[in-house]
Amino acid sequence: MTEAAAHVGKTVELVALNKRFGAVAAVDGVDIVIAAGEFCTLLGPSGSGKTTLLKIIAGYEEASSGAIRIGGRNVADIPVARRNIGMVFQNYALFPHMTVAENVAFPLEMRGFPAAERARKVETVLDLIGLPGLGGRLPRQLSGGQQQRVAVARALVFDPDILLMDEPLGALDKNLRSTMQAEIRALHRRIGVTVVYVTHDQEEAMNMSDRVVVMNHGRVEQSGPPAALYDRPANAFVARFLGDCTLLALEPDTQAGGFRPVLGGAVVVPFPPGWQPGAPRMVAGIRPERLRIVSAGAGIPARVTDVAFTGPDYRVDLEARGTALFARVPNLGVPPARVGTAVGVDFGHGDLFLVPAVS
Amino acid sequence: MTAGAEPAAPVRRTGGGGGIARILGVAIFAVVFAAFVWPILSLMGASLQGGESLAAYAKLATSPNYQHAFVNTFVIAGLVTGTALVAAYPLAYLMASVPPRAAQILTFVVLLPFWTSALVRTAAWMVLLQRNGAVNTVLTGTGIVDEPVAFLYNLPAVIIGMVHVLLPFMVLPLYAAFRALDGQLLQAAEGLGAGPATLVRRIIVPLTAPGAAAGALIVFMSAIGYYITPSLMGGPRQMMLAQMVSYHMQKQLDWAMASALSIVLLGSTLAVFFVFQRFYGFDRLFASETGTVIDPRLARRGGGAAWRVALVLGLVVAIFLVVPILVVFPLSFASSPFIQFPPAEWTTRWYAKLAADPKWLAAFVSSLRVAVLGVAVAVAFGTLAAIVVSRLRGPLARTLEVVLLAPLVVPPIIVAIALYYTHARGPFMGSHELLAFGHALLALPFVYVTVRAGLRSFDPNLELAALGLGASWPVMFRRVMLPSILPGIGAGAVFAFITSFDDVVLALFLTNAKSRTLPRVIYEGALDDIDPAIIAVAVILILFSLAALVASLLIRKRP
Repeated sequence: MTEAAAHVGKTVELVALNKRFGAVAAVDGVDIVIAAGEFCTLLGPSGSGKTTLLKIIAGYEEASSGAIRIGGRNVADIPVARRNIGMVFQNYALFPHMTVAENVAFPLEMRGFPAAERARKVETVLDLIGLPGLGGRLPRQLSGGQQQRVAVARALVFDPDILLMDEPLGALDKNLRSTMQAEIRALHRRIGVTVVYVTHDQEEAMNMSDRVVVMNHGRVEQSGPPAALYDRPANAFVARFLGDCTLLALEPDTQAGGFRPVLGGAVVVPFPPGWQPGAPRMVAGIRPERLRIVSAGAGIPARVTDVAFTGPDYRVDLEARGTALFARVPNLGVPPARVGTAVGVDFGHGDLFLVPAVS
Repeated sequence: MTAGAEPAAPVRRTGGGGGIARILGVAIFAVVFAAFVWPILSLMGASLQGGESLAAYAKLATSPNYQHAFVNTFVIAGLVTGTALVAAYPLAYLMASVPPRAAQILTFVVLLPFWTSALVRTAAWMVLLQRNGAVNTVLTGTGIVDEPVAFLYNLPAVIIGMVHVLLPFMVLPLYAAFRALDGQLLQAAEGLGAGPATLVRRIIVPLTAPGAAAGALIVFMSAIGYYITPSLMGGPRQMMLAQMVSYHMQKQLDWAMASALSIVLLGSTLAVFFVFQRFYGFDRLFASETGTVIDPRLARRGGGAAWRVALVLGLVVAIFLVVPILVVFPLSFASSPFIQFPPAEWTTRWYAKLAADPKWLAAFVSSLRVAVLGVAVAVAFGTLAAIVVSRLRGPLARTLEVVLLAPLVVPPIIVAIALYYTHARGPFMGSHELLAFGHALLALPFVYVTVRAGLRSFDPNLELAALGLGASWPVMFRRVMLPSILPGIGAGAVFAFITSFDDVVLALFLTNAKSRTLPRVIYEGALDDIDPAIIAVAVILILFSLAALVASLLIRKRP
C-alpha cells in the first residue's frame, strides 16, 4: 500500500470473450474495455455470467475463445498467481487458521518480502481500512464487516493492478452494507486501483460505479455510466433491471415526426435517428418518479387504485384507459391522493425513454 | 497431487477436473484394482480350478453341511441385527434427550467398546461366561442356580458376543438420526394432540428410520462375514460361512471349496449391500449430523412414560456395553488361576508373567510395526485419493468412490484368504509388510471418508484465494489446505491404527509363528483354555484404546 493515488491501476480489455460449459454459453461474445483506475461493476441476475467473467479475468477459469488484455498485455498464459490481481470473495475466503495479520501478510510472503517490510505494510493497510490493532485476531473472532475489511486489505496489500470483488457485501445486513459501500468508494478514490465489482444489487451498482455493465444470459445488455443506463436504457431488460418502470404502447405519427402514446395526451416522442416505418415496434418506458399526478381534468384522466406509504415516498397505483400505471410521490406530509378518486396524469417527452417492444 | 502441479498449471476446479487429477484418478484406480480387486478375482477363479470345475459348487448345493452353514449365517446375522436394533433405540433416544453432560458420558460409553478391540471384548465375555467364570460364580454363590450354567459355545453366547461387538455401529447412526430430528416437530405434534405413543409411532420412528436402516445394514453385513466371535464363543452348531471358508483353507487345503464358499459369502454381502443402496443410498452412511438436540425437558414432557421406559432400557444397554470391559480390570489382578469374581486375593503376577514371556513383547512389537507401516500407507494413499476424487466429476469419480469404499463392504475373511491365495508361494508370505499392506487396504476407506469429509467442509474459495494471492499449488496445499484437513487425516489415521492393531483375521492367514501379532497370540490363547495372562493383555489393550479414543475426541474438539 503506497500513498494515496500513487498507484494507478491498469486497463482491462475483454475482446470477443466466450466461455462454454458443455453446450451452455456462460459468457457469450463479451467485449468490454475498462479504463485504468475505473470502478466498473458487472451487474446481472444470478446465472448471467458475471461471476464467470470475473473468474476469467482473475485467471481461475480459462476462456473458450477471445482475448483478455491487462495493461495492454495478453494474459491468457499468465497463471493466477502472477497476474497481480487482488480478489475479494463473496464469503471473504479468509484463511481460518491464520490471524488477521498472517492473512494480510500472505500475499507479501508469497512475493518474498522480508519480514520487517511485511509487518510494516500490514500495519499500514490495517490502519487504512480502519482495523488497527486487530492483527492478532483470528477471522472468526471478527464481525462480518470486519472480516470484509480484512479481505479487502489482503487483496490490496500487495499493490495489485486490478481489484476484483465478487459480491463482497452480499453477506452483510442492509445498514452495514451502505456504510461499506461508502468506504469502498472512498478507498477507491484514494488508491486509484482499477476495480471490477460484481453484484446483482442494482442500487449498489449505481451508487458505487463509474460504469455499470448490465449482463444477462452471458451477454452484455448495455454498458455505461449509471445515470445514462437508468435514464436511457437500451432495452426493456435493462430498464426493468435498474429500477421500476411502466411500459406504454406507442403509435407512430409520421406527420408529427414521432411516436404518440396510445394512452393519449399531447406528448410526441421524436423518432430515433434512422427510424423507418416498418422497423421493430417501440414502446416508451417511464420511471414512477417521472409520472406526475395532477388534478382531475388536467392531463390524461386516471383513477387511483391503491396508495402505499413507503417512508420517503408514496407509491400510487393508477389506471388510465385500461392501462395500469404507477407513480412515486415524495412524502411531503400529506398523502398525494385517495384511493378511488379521479385524477389526471402527466409527463413530458423528456420523461419517456424508447426501447424496442418485446413480443 | 503435490508433485507435478507446478504453479504454471494450477489445478482447475471447474470444467470436470484438470488433466492432472484425471491422470492421478486413473492411476489410483489401477493401484486399488491391482492391490484389492485382482486378488479377490483370482480367488474367485480358484473355485473353477482344474477338471473338477463345478465340483465345488455341486458339493455346495448337495451337502447339508453347507446349507446348514448358509442358513446359520443368515439366522445369526438376522438375530444379531434385530437384537441390536431393539437395544439401540432406547439408548440412542436417551443419548439425544439427556442434558449435554450426561449425553457426553453416554457417548463415551458407546464409543469405548467401539474403540476397544473386538477380540479383547470377546475374550472378556468368555472370561465372564465360562463355566467357572464370574457370572456363574455369582449365580451359584448366591444360590440362584445349583449347577453352573453352560453359557458358552452355544447360540445365545454367539448372539451376546456379536451384539456387544456390533451394537455401537447401530447406536451411532441412530443417535445421529435422533440428533437430526427437529425438536420443533415433536413440539408441533404434541401441540396438534399427539400422545406419547403416537409421538413415537408416527413421528420418531419414521424420521429415524434411515439411521436405523444404515445401522442395520452395517451390523447385518458385518455379521454375515463375522469370524472371531462365533469361532471363539460358538459351538460346532453355530458354524458360519466365514468359519467354513477358513476351515477349508487351513485345515483341508481345499482351495476350490474355500473359493466357492467365499463367492457365496461375498455374493450374500453384496446382495444385502445393493438392496440397501437401492432403498437408501450409501451416502447416508456418511451423512453428517445436523439439526438440534431434542430439548430434554420437551422430550421428557412430550413422552413422559415413554421417556422413563427409554431411561431404564437405555441404562441397561449402556451397562451391557461397558461391564465386560470394566470387569477385566479387577480380574487381571485376581490371584486364582481359575477366574473368580470377586477375586479372593489381589496380585500382579499375570503382568509379571507377561513381562517374563518374550512372546508377548515380540508380538506387541510386531503389531506396532505392522500398524505404523499400514497407517502410513493408508493415510498417504487415502489422502491423495480423497483430494483427487474431490476435483473429479462424472463416471471416473463415481468409479473411484466405489473401489475406494469397497474394502468396507467385503468381509475381512475374504480379503485375508485372497491375499493368502495370491501370496501363498510368494516371497512376502509371513512378512510384516504383507500384513501391513492388507491392513492398509482395510483402513483405506476410513482415511478416504474422513479426509473427504474434511475436504467437503474446506471452502474451495480458500484455494482460489491462496492461488490468487501468489501461492503455487504445493505452497497452497501446505499452508492452507493441509491445516484444514489435518483433523480429518488425524481421525483417519487413528481409525487406521485401530483397524490394524485389532485385526486377527488377516494376521491368522498372513503371519507365521515368528511374525505373529498380538491379537493372533491372544486369539490362539483364547482358543484353548483362557490363559489369565490374556486378561492382563486385554487390560493393556483397553488402555490403549482408551488413549486412542481420547486422542480422537481431542482431534474432533479442535476448531
